[in-house]
Amino acid sequence: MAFITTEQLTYIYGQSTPYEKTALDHVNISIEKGEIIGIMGHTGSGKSTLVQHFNGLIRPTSGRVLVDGVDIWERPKEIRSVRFRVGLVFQYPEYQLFDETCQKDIGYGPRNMGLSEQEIEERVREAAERLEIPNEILQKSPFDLSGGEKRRVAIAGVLAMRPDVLVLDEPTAGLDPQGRKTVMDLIERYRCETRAAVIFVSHSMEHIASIADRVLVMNQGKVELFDTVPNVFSQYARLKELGLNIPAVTEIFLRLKEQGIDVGKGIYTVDDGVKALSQLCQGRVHHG
Amino acid sequence: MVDGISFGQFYPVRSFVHQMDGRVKIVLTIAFIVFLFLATNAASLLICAISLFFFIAATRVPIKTYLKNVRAIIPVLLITAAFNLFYTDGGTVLFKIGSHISVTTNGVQTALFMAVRILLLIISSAIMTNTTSPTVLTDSIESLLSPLKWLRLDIHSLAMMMSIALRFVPTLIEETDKIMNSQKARGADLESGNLLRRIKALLPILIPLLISAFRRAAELADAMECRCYHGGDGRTRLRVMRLSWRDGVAITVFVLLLVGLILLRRM
Ligand SMILES: Nc1ncnc2c1ncn2[C@@H]1O[C@H](COP(=O)(O)OP(=O)(O)O)[C@@H](O)[C@H]1O
Ligand SMILES: [Mg+2]
Repeated sequence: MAFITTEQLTYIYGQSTPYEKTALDHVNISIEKGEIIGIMGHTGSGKSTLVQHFNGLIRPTSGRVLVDGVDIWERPKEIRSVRFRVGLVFQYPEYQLFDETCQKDIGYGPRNMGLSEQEIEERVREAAERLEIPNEILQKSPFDLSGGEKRRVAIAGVLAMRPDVLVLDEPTAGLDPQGRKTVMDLIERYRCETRAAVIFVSHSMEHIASIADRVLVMNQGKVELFDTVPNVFSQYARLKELGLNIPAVTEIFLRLKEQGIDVGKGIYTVDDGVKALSQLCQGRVHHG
Repeated sequence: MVDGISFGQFYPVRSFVHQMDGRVKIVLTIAFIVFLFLATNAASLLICAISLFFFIAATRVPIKTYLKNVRAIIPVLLITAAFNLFYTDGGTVLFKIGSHISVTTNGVQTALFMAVRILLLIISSAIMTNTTSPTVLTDSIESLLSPLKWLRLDIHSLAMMMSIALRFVPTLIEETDKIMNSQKARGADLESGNLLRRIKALLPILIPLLISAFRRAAELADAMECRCYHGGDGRTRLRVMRLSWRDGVAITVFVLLLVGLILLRRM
């Protein structure tokens, strides 16, 4: 059964003011446990608005959001319990850090859950480990860290709640290649080790192609495409129309094909590309 | 969402009043408030209200917006009216509460007048702020206060500080919203518990907010310095303020209103 489902989800900012803006327009999607979903779309297409509905930070103008089969707004008083199950990491989450030490800051979520000190410590340690945060950083003030370190501490703050669904809004924006890799590895490992669903917004086609199971393409508040990686990235022309792109390797192989070099279809990551090329070379050797 | 800080928020449409000169709007609003206190009988308050109504109609801002502005000051209105009702002597006594407080006809009249005055005052200032963008507002204040330069007051810096402060209000509101949401996503509970607990629950929001406000201030100062900002001397304006026929019309209406008020006072 689907873990998160939206039914005719619609959201309008500033309803009945001159600033009125329909950010989500009848969105119907469902996401299973253990899936990794990549969300992409033009700036302003409603990605952030959508992910804030998953943990009940925004209440739909109309339509429903179901988590584990239950409408999360059925009991508005208990919305906090949804936020512990669906962990949301905002875009630029480093601005949410506030406590004296990183250790305490990461423990803020678990503490709000009402866990025991021992349990909190255990979870902080686990989350810090997942994000490769060394012990000496845990004892530092979050304001003394570099940008990349702050980002990792902030993400750890959400992971420490051990959510069933991890949602990240542009988690790699503004990070260096090493930082981006850490976050991408984290997403895969978290899914593998906990069978949680992971939903992440990204502008990097490479990242989405390399780890996502399915891709959700948003356009002007509507779902444009929601399908597997091959099915989405094969719609080259349509993505271009939406101002999006396909992974650079895919584009290179498409061009090769146009030049009459048959390299096969469905190349979305550099690894795929290397394999295809080495096969091609072997083929040449046999023929020659 | 942070809401309810919408009093007199700029409402961006094109209208007669929107296109008036900001300085004229400020002066006329102040004049109107003075008129309200010159108006000591029902007839004069009525013509004030009627002229205000014409200006409201000329703003093309929905009546709902004004009603919202008025709703915010209802408590003030009621308290003022109550004081006037109970503490004004004279006229015939209508009824007594206990042995000290009596409600008189004079009291009822003063209370009513006071309530109407405050109401009109609020609406008139709402007209000004609803139709004038914060930038134009500070530019106008700077222009109106510029004679004070002769007293060696640094009007330009004051106006600059004011416009920067106004400029950052929406940014800070947006930021508060974002930080609040991030902490709520980690299960922050802002709505329950006693006062002390609630104040403590605000810390995770206030600390990041303050830190980012200081960071912004430092960045803005650097950016201004990089663009060679050195105060107001020799600076020219992108938008030069000029009076138009609309300002003439509005001023004429006000002169007529003033004449009307003086005549009614004589009667
Ligand atoms: N707080 C807000 N108030 C009003 N409009 C908003 C707000 N947040 C977003 N929007 C509008 O809603 C639309 C979707 O925004 P968003 O979900 O942030 O898009 P994305 O994350 O895909 O860039 C945009 O047009 C944006 O201008
Ligand atoms: Mg966004």
